[in-house]
Amino acid sequence: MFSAATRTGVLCATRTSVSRSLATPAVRAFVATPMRQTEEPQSVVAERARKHRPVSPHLSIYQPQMSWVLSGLHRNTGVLIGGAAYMYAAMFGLAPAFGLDMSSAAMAGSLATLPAVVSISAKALISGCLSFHVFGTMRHLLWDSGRMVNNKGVITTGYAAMAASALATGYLTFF
Amino acid sequence: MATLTGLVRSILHVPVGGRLPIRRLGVQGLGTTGVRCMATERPSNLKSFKIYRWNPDTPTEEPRMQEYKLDLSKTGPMVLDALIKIKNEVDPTLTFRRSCREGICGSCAMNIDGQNTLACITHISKDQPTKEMLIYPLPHMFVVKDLVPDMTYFYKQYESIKPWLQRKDVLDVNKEILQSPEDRKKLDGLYECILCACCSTACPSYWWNQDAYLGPSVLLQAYRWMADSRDQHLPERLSQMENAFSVYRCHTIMNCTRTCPKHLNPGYAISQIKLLLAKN
Repeated sequence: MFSAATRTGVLCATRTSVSRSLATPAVRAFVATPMRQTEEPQSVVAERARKHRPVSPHLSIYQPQMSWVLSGLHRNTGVLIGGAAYMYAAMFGLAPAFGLDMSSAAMAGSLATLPAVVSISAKALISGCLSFHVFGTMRHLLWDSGRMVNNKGVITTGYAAMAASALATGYLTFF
Repeated sequence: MATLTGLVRSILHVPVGGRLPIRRLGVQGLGTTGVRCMATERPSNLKSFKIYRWNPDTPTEEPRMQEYKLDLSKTGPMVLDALIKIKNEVDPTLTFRRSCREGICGSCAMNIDGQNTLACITHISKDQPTKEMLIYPLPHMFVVKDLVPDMTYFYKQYESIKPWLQRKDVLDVNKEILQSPEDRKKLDGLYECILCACCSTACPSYWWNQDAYLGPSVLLQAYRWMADSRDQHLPERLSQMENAFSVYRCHTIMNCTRTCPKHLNPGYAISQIKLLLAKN
């Protein structure tokens, strides 16, 4: 079946100037793959190939889709706010040893001295991570109960989580 | 211009790859003159295909992308047609798997324009003929050659879930094991899986934990036997999943369901396994 189709294709290819310009002199159907010129036994060749065989490309070539992009965001926002919480707790514990005052009043006072751009963007970053992670968690609770586990569910809950976290971020940043 | 044509197509409901009615009239006019109505008269429509190449005979050479240009007016409609044309007429060293050419064997699973799918049932987009098409092997797999990934471990994982009917009763070989129509219905959406591994190799969890996590494809098969009313080994099948990796590396990313070329839902099957584990 393949042979018949190809033969027609090649006959056609010789008819037009377009395809002739495309075709290199080597273009013929059923050209055999060149034989391997080697004295080595097959097992040695295979062994060497296995040793060097590459892993096919993955994250860098996969189409960005809401499914895995939001999943990655969910995990990374979790890591960020979790890490920040741990760091803050550790600092609070170590503060007396370094003579730092970390009482609420002192913290509020020193934050008030920051330029507006810095404080607003810091608040937006923290509240953005927190609210996206909270609404992302709600998606996961929904999925773990066996609901919305389909393509449409992923898209609708994804948009809902993004919209809700955008509103929450705005509220937490400016009010 | 391409977007304008696309707009006109969508308004006129001309399917992708079809011709606009006005041009079709023109071709019919030519056809009446007799001899000139040959396939070669169609305007050439060059499209570039960039394909992942790696040759095990020169294993230390880095993998590379090789570009092939095909005239779409002389190529079949599917990506597999293009690959076969390249192999037959341009470069016989290009290596890929294919068999049924109708989406039932799962051999030609590969990553086309960033999505895992079957080359045989994926149309070559004629809407954007100037846009190059990128073809890679299934992601994060050891490469045997070019577009051929090593599936050995994937098949071992499939074997590990014992994909066959297991009974505790002594079987009477002369008697059927009956199943109600309702119970049979529970297997719909599960038994159609062709094990092409598109879903498993689309799953980031499977990329990072392939050695321990079973992956969506094998888990859908595991659930297919858990859901079968004729199978009597549900507790054993579940206890096999009672660890941190086999099923719980699934974080409901849902790339699997998004990419399945058979439109099945492996993500749902995994969520059902998790619910069964919680209940038992």
